[in-house]
Amino acid sequence: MTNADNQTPGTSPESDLEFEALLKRIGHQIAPDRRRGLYLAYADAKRQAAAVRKRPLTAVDEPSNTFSLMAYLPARKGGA
Amino acid sequence: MTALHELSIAEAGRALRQGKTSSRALTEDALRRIGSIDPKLNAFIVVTHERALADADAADAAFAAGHDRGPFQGIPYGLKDIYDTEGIATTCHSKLRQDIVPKADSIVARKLREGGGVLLGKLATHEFAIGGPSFDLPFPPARNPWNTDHAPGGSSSGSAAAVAAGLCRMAMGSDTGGSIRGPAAWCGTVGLKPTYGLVSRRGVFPLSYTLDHCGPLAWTIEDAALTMNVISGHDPLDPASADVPALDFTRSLGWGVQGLKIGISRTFYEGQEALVPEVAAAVDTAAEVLRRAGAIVEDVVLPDYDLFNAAGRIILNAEAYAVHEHDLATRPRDYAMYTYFRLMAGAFLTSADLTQAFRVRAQLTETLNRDVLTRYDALMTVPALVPAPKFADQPTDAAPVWPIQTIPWNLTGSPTLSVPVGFTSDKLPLGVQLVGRPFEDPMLLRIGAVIEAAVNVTSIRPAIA
Repeated sequence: MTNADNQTPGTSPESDLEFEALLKRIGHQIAPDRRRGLYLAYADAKRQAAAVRKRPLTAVDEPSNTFSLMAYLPARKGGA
Repeated sequence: MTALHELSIAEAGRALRQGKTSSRALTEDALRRIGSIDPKLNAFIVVTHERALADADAADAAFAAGHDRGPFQGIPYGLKDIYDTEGIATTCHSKLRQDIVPKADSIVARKLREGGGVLLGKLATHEFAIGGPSFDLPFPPARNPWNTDHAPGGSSSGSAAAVAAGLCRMAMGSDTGGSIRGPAAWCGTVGLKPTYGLVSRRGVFPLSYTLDHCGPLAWTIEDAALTMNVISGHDPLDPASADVPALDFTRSLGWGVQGLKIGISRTFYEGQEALVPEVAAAVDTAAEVLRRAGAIVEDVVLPDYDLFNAAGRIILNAEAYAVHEHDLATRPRDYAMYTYFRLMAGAFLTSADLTQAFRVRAQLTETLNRDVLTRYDALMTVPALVPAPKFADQPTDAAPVWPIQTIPWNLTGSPTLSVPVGFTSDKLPLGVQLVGRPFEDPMLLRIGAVIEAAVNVTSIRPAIA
């Protein structure tokens, strides 16, 4: 079993600042015993976000297949 | 004479129809076994004794009256505790939902009930199908029947443990990033994540809307196929449900694999630091079985695993955070620590991150189905890089990350089957993961049946059973 990331608070000032800013935006009160685990979750999310940007994408590479109006075809609703 | 709990659904069904046993006998046997074995496994959150016996008597009465509602009539089964059950709490293994009693069955629960099945109880899960295995919850985590110091995998942990220990022949699981196939592989059961949209998710607590799948864990391939014949089908009230002709999941089970072409996506796991060689060897064992049975098996190169993984995890984390946003803000301490960390990951993503992940998802799905699965009938890979891990190795201040390799097929919605292959030198189960074309789930079961027959591990139960 491995942790996703060995990155811990205090090793990257830029990441520490971003982490604190994101926590402020979310507006949650974070208990001290949960800060390190939360930081690891943040570091992991950042790494995944970087990974999906390694794939070349053009403007026509779109994900519109996740949204469909097929259920509202007039024939299915008994319309004309 | 075969012990009652060793009868498969198909065998028990024949015995019921020949009058050689009764549903009450099967059910009382299962309840006895749960009473003696489950305290060591914690597979069940609640055992529904009265409901089970009532279901059993109703099934026996139906047989006596000449009514036959199909393969589940009189068969005991379990449900992961994220499936709504009318009048029975659906806790999601969470403090947040201990007192939530649904007014209606989920569609799967309804189909199994209407098919004459016997509900034994609700099964342990990782909290909300994402946290865990956690010890800071109202219910303990399920344990692996092959070695209770080890986790059974998750999140369908109780389902896998119960089936492997012979407490039920089939238990429903759910799979958003591998939660059927991981536990199936680590507990030595069959686990099918059907094609996205083939089984209704209505009444099942959501984790990630576009990645959630419902499917069975079973002791045999045939039992998984029989279950699919009962639970699959279009549901106009599940937005993801596929309006496709009904499939017959048992018809092709004996057709063999002569002439089929199967690709091994070895690049997904070879060279990975965490890889345990016995895990990779299990894939080679299955490949050899299929070659001997007449299949053409060769290596295939897919896009990078890390890309599938990243896109899948971004979508999962973003959608799961959206589901739990309010409770995370107002009741954070009511979530187990691991659940909290995993759900909060979605709070750190941007709208652009999610959109890029969906764009990558569309590309990878196209590549898989247009470029790869037009050349291969199915793909093979490992379900995880390691066998079942020990509870004692879990970190204490961060969520454990298990190196399972299942999320690519949630991302693409492909049907995927975990099949037992053998055991490690420590007697922990090993499995292989088969991936197919959308709506060709029966093909995977057909291939799985060939592996199952050749490796012959269904006769081996954990010592605890």
